[in-house]
Amino acid sequence: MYYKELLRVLRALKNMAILYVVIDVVSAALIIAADAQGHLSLPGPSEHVQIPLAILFAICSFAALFPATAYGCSLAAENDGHLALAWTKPASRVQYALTVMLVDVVGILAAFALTFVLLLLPQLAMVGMLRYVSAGPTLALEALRQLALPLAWFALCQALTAGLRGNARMVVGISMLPAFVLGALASAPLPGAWHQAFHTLAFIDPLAYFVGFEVSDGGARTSNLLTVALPLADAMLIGLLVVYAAAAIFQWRRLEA
Amino acid sequence: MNSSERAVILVKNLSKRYGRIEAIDDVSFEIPRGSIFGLLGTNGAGKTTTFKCMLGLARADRGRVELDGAPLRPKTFEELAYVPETNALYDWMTGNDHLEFTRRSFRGYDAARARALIDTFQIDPTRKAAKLSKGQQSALALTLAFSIRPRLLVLDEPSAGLDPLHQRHVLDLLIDAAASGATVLLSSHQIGQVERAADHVAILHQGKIVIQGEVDQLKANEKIVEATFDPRAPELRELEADSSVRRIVRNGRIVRAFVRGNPDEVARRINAAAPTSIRVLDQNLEDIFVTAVGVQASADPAREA
Repeated sequence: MYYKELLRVLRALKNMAILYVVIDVVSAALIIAADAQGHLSLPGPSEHVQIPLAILFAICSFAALFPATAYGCSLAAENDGHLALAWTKPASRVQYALTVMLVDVVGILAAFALTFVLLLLPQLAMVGMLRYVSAGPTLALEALRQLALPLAWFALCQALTAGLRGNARMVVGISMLPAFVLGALASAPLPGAWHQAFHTLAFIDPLAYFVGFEVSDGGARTSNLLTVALPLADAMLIGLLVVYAAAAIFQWRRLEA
Repeated sequence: MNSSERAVILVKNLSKRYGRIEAIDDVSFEIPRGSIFGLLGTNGAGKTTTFKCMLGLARADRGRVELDGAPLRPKTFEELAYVPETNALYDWMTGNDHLEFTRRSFRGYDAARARALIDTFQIDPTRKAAKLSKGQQSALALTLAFSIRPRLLVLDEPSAGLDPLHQRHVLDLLIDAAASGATVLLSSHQIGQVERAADHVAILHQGKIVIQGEVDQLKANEKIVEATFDPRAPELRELEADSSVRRIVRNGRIVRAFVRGNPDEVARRINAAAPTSIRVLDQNLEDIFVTAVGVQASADPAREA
């Protein structure tokens, strides 16, 4: 059952990889050109400059949101005239949906890794900043935290579209903007009632869990838009992931071809 | 052993509404193992809904379905192939991708058979499904269905879009599958093909089964009494009250009475109106279909009994 979705995911990842390689080549060309004209000034060795890996993970997380959005329509895509093929495989509807979603999740993780390996590392290497990258003691936790964000967004997209036919891409495309705006409004200095309303609503918005960084000489300080303790935010984000995935499967089970 | 025990597909009192429309109403039939069962009906008669409810693609409001003596389970699809009426292939996948998808999904996938069918239907498996003609898309869907060597085949308009040569291939595949012990349920507007392949038929009309049985038995039981008069065929109103007369078609000098059961009495009564000639003909499946759904047929060529 996984093969069709694997093809779809691989195709998207291939396009992403091509885009990153093109960006790398263009960057390299610009750096070579600047160097030839004597305009290139790369930073020298310094003990004070640090680039926490967590920041790079945050960038990867943001980049992975886009494939997560695209993959978030995968169940709806089946409902666009393919259910007769999908539901006559020797698997239950739940098993089929879980298989498809699992492949999508692997694709999102791969997109995260691709961004790190094919975009960030080469870019940092080209400007001589690679040596300043530092891993903190909570590296694994930071990685998981940043991975959970696109995964929860993916689950929300599935929950929004699993019961739709035909216009799922438009729905998730339109959803991304209000989701970002809601996160911003939750932390904006609005009058009390409005702030409370947006802040409460933002708890169900995975994008509001985006972790920001304040970099100083002493390192990076993390914070999120919801102004709740990070461990609690992590738990809530994972909770959202589970709830949205369950909602998607619930709708998928109720569909009729 | 009764007929239900022999039936590999049992559909009992199946009903399904879409809003205020009764798509199918109390549909029941049984299909014996190794037989080809044709489900006939006009557009919107409920054939596709019946298939969808049978296969769990749509939820029936009432009724039950048993396949091989058990309700439908995911495992059933290991040996069941369904070809839907509309193209369900993934546009962006090639024929080879679809074959690989099928190979990885079904244990019974037979690569050699799939290749042979690809050759038979002259499909270019490297082309994306969207780039195939409608006929080739149908052929690819059939290839996928037959490649798993299913014991149950459910085909909704399997010949749609195929040229006559490939329609013949499909017919041969169906007959071959049934001869190998597979059970086939198909719907088709090509009544002639169904007549050639099917040993059992049911005719759906407005969601209800109006007639069903073995093809040979139905045909043996349905006759046409055809009489020619000069200069014009008389009204013969008294025949309309006869319960064995399903319909009467007058066409200038010729009158045809479609009779269920023994035609002798009807022939005797028509003969009393002094026709210039009278004969009893067999009905073909199309005649039976037209009579069953109550559509007035246009003049059709006569066939000797």
